[in-house]
Amino acid sequence: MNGRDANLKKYERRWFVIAMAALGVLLGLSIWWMMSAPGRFPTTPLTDPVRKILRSPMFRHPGVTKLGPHHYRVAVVAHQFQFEPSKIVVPVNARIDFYVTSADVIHGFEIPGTDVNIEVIPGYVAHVFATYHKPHDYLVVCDQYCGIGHQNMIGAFDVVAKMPLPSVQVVPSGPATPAMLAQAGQALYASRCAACHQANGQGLPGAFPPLAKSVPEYESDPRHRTLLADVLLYGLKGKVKAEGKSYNGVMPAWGDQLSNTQIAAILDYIGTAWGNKEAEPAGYKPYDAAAVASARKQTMTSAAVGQLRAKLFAGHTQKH
Amino acid sequence: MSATIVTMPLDRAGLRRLKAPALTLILTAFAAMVVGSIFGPAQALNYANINIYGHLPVASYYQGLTIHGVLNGLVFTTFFNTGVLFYFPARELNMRVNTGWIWLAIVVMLFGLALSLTATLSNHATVLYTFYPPLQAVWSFYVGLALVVVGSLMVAAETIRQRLAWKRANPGRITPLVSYMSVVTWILWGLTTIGIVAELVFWLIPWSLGMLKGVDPLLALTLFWFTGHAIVYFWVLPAYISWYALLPREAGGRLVSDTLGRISFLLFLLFSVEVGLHHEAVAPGIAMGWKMEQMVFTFFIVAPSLLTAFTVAASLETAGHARGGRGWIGWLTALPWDDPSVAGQVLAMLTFILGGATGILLASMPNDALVHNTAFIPGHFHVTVGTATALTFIAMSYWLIPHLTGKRLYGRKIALVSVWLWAIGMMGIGVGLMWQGLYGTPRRDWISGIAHDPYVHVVPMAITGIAGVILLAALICFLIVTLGTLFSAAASPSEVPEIPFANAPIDETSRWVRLTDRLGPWTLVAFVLIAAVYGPLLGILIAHQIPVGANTAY
Repeated sequence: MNGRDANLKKYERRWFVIAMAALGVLLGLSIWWMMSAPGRFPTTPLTDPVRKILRSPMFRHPGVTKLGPHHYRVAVVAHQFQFEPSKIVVPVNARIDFYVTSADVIHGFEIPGTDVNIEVIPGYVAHVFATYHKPHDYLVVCDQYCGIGHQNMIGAFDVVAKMPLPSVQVVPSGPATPAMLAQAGQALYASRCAACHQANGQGLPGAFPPLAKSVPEYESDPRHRTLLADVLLYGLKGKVKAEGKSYNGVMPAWGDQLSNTQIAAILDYIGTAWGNKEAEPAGYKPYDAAAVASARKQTMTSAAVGQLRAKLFAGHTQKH
Repeated sequence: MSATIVTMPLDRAGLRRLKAPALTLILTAFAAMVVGSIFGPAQALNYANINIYGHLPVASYYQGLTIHGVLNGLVFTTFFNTGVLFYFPARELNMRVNTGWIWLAIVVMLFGLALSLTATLSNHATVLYTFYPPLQAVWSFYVGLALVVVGSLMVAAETIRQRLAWKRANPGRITPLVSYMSVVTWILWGLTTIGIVAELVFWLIPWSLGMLKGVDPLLALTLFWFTGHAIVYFWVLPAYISWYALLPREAGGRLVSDTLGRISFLLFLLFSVEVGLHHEAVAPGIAMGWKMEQMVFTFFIVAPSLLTAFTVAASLETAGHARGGRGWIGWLTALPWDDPSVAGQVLAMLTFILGGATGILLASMPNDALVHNTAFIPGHFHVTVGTATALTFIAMSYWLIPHLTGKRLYGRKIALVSVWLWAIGMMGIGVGLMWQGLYGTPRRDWISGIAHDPYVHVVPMAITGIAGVILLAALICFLIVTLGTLFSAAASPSEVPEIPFANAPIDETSRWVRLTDRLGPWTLVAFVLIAAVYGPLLGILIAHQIPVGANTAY
């Protein structure tokens, strides 16, 4: 072995020792950190069929629940394409336990600026916990591709110095009155539909059609009324042409996640909000659960709904 | 096969029969890369908050991204590797292969490519190259990918058989280096693909054909990443083969240690698969013990790359010294930078420093959890697969395509420009996206399509956007050189480059070297290790499946 080779072996040994030592330090630090910061990684083996999870007490009414003076639980259901609840408010200096699951596909639950960043898998509940010491308004972001509306799936996570007073929830005991339905419809729209169709019903150019001034188009013809219920029940896939513009988003199906009453409430809300009420034809009747139930009798694929809409609205001149 | 046929050296006809399938595979690979890379600049502009998707023939950012990921990450790499990993050993061992079998494999792969490509182009498979259920693609997407994998495994089997035949005909001899490394890469590929093939064959294909009501998303995720991390070694090892065993001679030097090359490849064989869980660090349903164990293995797998860095740098140093370079940097600047193949590969190595360093960072789970699924991740992998793999393959093509076609390289200066633009562009993508990721900007996200983009950060966005345009220019230069070469006249035989085998002396008496050559037992060891690390976890997931139904909201 000549001098050059001996040198080589010496440098090689040195290089390797230094590199492996550096790696060892990083590995050791990582393990130490993980063992001393519990609650950062989801480990809870909470698994169940998706429907069972969604009907469980924790996820039936997702949101913030106070468990103790400095202990809160935040239960979140991720949907295409909105978190439920879409606005989370928690106080400072309290332990916040997040339980996050999905109603449909894999989502992400990331709060940029904090340590919270988890994979949300249907059939599984991800549980992490943390404490926040300074008031701040954060975003909650879906960071796992979940479909055409993925980029709009953004919510709010507000850490506040003092929690706002809880609004009084009246649990209805009799059949739902129109006023209750209207309120429910608005809340459901905000949590399920606004992500894509926007709070003002304007939609998103190229992707999601506007509902303002366009829903009344569906009310003049019984076939169109049923179609509207079908859109919510089964979703819609395929190009939608409205007002000379086209939209190529995808509407997810809500029939599995929402009851007939809830869908009827949404249909009535979008039928009357944003000035739609004045545009409704004479004799317009609000939807009820029975109307939605009868639309459920014939199942359709989202593509078939798209084709039906295109057929029914072919050559339809828009008034505005 | 009788011994005489097996050891008969290649004649001119035999050479031509060998070059044709190799060229077919390699040109298909680059065609896929070009088509896939068309979407790259559009994606970079998206991450500069500029939305040009209204002008592109795709339905959404996500369809473009699926095409980009599938063609670049799965098709380009698999086809290129399948080409070089049978061709180089056959030439080094100077033995015929069963070209009929190779052509059959190519037909299978091309058919699979056609199926998957048709599915993605029709927007019925906009599930990204990770295709996580419950999002569901049309059945032809999955079948196509499975066929591409099967075809590549057919070629793997032929090269492995060829080495066994060579060993029988040359008892007591150590496998020559390139063939050894190629066979190790193929064995690793066989082990790697177990996850994705199982996922496709037992779950995704039956599911997409309506035979299964649902698929457990965590099981699918785990099977995908069983393959998904080891596949990056399948992507980088052929580049390492060039760096170890071809580049030193191209640069005018020698490989300083044949032995270290073998040891590093053996370490990759043993440890590449047992690390996949670091892609699921923040997924529910998997106990911390499994994640921590695979984190430790992830740190192990850095070792062979560090070995490679040292050996390859030392080898290039001999080339620099031979050309008169002296001192700490002199050897590097004295390398033949006017040779596009050398320049490209050295640039790939230099940019890979950032890629490797960020890989080590991501191996540490606390850090990984912070930037999981942010733009940091594609930032990282564009300075690994985008440089170490893609730039090396591009640089290799500048001698390999002339070699396979018998033509002179067209536009050597343009070729040089292409590798510099590519390296600079990829560094820009890496830095720009990683910087955005540190702000929490999500990856795989049509952020320029949001009404009010909350992720605007001007400087990293500008870097990303400009880098995307630079890469487009690099791609165009590559295309000009490659098409120019393919359509130029045949060169005289003396002008056609030969494969620059380094032929470093093999220490045939070394006990370590003899040990590394016993690949049968080592494969078994690798298999047992993988089964020990992944087996129990997969067993638990399979026993407790939660089937979730299909979703096509794309």
